[in-house]
Amino acid sequence: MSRGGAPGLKLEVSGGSFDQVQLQTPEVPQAVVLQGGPSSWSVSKPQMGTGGHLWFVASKEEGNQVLRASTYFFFPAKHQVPTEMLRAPRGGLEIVPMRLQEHGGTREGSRWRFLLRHENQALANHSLQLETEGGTRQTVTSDANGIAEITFPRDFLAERLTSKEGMNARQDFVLSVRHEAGGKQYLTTYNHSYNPDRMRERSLPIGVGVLALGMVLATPLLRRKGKKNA
Amino acid sequence: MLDRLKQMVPTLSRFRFLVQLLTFALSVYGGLLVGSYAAEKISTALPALSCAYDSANGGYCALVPLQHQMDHRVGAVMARAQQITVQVLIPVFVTFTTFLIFFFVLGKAFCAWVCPLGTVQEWLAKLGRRLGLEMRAVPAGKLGKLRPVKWLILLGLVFVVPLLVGLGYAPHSAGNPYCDICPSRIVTTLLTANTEELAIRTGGDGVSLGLGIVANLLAGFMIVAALAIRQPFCRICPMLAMNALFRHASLLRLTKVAHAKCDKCGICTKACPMDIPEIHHQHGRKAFNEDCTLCGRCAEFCPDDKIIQIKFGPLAVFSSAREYYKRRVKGETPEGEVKPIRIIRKPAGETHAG
Ligand code: SF4
Ligand code: SF4
Ligand code: SF4
Repeated sequence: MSRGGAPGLKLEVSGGSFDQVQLQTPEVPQAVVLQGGPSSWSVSKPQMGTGGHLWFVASKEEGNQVLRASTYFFFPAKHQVPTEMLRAPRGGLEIVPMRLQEHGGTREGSRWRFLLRHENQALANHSLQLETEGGTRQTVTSDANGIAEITFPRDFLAERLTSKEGMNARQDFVLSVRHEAGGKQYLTTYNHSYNPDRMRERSLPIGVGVLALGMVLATPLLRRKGKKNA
Repeated sequence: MLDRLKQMVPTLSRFRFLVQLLTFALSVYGGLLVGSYAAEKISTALPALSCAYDSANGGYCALVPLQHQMDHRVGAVMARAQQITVQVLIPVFVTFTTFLIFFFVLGKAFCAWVCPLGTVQEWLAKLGRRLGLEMRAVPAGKLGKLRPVKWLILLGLVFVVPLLVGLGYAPHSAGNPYCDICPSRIVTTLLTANTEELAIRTGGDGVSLGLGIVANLLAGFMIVAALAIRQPFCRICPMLAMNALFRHASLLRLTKVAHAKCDKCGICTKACPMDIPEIHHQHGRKAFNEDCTLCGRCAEFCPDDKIIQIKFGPLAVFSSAREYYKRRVKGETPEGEVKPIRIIRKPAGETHAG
């Protein structure tokens, strides 16, 4: 899925088509079916609400296969918290982020947790795959509560780390989960992007050294108290 | 019940210490309690240096949205040669109003009762006394040169430079110049075991490298200086200047009435962590100085009844009192020296140890 700009949003899928796309916002946690399709949808400004995180789920059914792709779009404004929207019951197979990013980006090396659920029930000990544009393939398993934790790999491609983009450079990732139930095969994905580790352009030894220099510069202020009589 | 409470909280300073413990935990680690989304924070326009860069904060300071709005809102729109519209000014207005609502109630007390960086400096001062280091007051003669620095930092680094960035006259890397040199960013993130802010940006341009060097020098200097000089950073803090702007509008404030004995006394200034001479020499509005952090120590150590008061509206919340003073100086000198517990040696013959 790709994300567009203001005043409304245009949503496009690459490499396929979907039957429908549903939108949820923190203000309207119930899903609204978007106009458009099968590979492009538009979101009007009123549908976007006052800002914050918009949660999109595209879905289609082919034979006994149920496919679903999800992502979010964030625009900073005076906004509400997306927790209720994310946890709202939707049914089907889902990868539900426990928290969505606001400012600052999902960075290499940071840890993020996702709830895996099917028909609103947590999927314990279930596999979740991570694939990144940097070439990482990784599988993690959910715990007894259906929570899987991903640590984003340090795999930024050299050509992505341009001086123009700096630490705002982005690389895409996709999480996927499969499940079989009631004779149907479910495949659900969640995709978004992540940013480079800030430490790529920072130096801790230099930071510590300059801090220590600042400390040394203040030492002339330190004087032992004159001995007082007991 | 009341007696037990009095035993546990015998002085205003002890009460303030307990409040600081709570506000310190809330500002540095409170996000673990209130939640991590901006909308869940206690406020994002606090009149204290609770840092937005600390990912576990319970709320953050007003300086970060102000710099951001100058750069991205006001500056960017002016650069596009459009009129400054209501839509551009509303966020700036909201930040100021939120700040003022908080400020109207607690006023300058945000400094001495809420700010985590103020608290850290105070704890370092206590450590300095314990280490037997001499406490050094900033002489009244030097204050004339020192006091304008905070106003210059507020004007230059919070308003003007971010605005110039928005207008395209300064590089993008100077968009948050005050945050980039703010010691709270380094100190509070270190307290959450995050070393990212202590590390200096060496891969950016010269501006970010320069700001990073200033930040670490300042933070290092502040940490050691606080062992000898009380509240060293507060003296140049732009939030102190912001709070000073509106201090007479706040319900909570410091008052002092003229008193004949003041001339020869001056204990209040000795007790003042900001070495404010005006609390000694002035009365009325002038005694409530721009540098005051509303810690209340001057009122605690004033040896006469009802001369210095902390007032909330017409109500005196705390008044200086002779009896209180006598008790207070038994435990601590006005300068913050804790009186040693006297250990009386037994005559040599009576000791059991060999
Ligand atoms: S760096 Fe300083 S000014 Fe910036 S958000 Fe943190 S405490 Fe506030
Ligand atoms: S003056 Fe001191 S206490 Fe007040 S906001 Fe600044 S650092 Fe904090
Ligand atoms: S004038 Fe009084 S209340 Fe203000 S900082 Fe000094 S001692 Fe504290």
